[in-house]
Amino acid sequence: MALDNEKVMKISIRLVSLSFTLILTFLLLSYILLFLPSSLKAENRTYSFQTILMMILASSTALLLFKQMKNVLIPRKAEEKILSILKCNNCDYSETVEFKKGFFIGKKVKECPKCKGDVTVDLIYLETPKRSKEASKPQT
Amino acid sequence: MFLVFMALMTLYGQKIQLMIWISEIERRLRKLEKMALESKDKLAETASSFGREKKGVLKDIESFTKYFIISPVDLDPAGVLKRLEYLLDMGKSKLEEYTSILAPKAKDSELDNFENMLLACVALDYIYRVVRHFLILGKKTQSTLIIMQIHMQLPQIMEIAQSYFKALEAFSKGLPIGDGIGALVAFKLGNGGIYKEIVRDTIVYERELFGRKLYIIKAKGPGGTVGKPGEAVKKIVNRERNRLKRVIIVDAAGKLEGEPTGEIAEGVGAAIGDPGPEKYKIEESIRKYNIPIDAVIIKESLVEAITIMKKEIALSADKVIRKIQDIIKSRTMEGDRVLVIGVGNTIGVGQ
Repeated sequence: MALDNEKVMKISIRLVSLSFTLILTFLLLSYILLFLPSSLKAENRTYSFQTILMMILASSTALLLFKQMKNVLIPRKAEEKILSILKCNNCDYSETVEFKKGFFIGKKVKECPKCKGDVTVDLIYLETPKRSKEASKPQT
Repeated sequence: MFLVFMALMTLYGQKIQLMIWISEIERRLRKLEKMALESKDKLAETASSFGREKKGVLKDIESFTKYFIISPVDLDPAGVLKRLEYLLDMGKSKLEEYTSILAPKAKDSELDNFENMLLACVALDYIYRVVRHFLILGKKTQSTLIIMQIHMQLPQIMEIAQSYFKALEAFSKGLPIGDGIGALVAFKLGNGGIYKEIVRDTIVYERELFGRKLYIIKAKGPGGTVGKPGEAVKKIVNRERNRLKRVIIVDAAGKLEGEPTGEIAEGVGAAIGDPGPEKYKIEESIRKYNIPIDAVIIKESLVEAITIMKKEIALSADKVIRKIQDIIKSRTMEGDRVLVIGVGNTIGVGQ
């Protein structure tokens, strides 16, 4: 069953706060590890393999989390609308309405308010608002 | 520490990579399973609105989604197209039999749409079973090659599966799909003219334009069907013979990445994406009487072809009509007879 908007929003806020805290922690850890040797005595001021490994791990985890957070923050599904263009067969009357069940192209739907001619469905199409490249990627 | 790390990575690096791939495939397989199950649920829901009980219908859907057609033997190619057409016709009547069992109270156009829904379910079920097959096979044999191949193809497979899943909405509501642009052009061009059903599920309009007589072929809507345009062309060409001066064929065609959706291109040949028999009939008919053929294609991706028609595609219909009018004016003379074929699934497009 699909979650309603309120629940999705609550989950998103929790995820964003958690990711933000973790990013900060890992960035802080990388920072500490980076400046750790400078706090030591002159003869010990070298980076050990463990320190380098930890630094790489911490910074890459922060980067991964940041990418994930970006996915949560950017709305994935933009509002899509199915629209129908209705046109009069006699005059220039035309209007765009939302698609109704039973509509098909060529169907007579009503009388023209201008000339009393037949108004038929001229086009039915899906309108997708322009969105960022990231958000338009297929969800795999 | 460094040496231990290096030793671990050298000995078990590939195993770790394989485990990561397997877990990713499993995650996507769960999505595919969900899509396959939800599609069956949607089909059952639609069937229940056409007089079937949801409980019993799920069992029937489960068996019908294993539907298949075996292609004819092509080691001896003589007559292979006739055999293929026969098998496709048999397959179509089998599907009609299934749909009338699942939706006994549906009207003709609703049955056509329901048939398309059933085919989308068959496709989703098949994709799920194939991915599962390769995953189990790869795990059983511990083959990096099998796992790697399926993992690398998964983004495309998921995209195709999602488009079939989205197509269910179009089929259940009877909305036009991207592939129907050819039928839409034929409808707009022929609208106002008289029409008759020339062969099963295929109509032909007759009208005058710029002093020329036009025959316009399209599938019979608004149900989801592609009709038999090849058979209709054969009938008209055999009747008109040398009086027919030009054939113009309009269809949706696959675009390359980077090309804009709804772009129009012109060429020569039978622009029709059928398995073979209909294309063969068109080519053979025009060759017999040396009739020139123009092909106008509207570019769209595979996903766009089977999902609800996008605005860019719908708006290209008027541009295609202007192109056809230009062809008629510049390449034929007054009094000539011209045949226009609008190829594609006519779901959501009437006559």
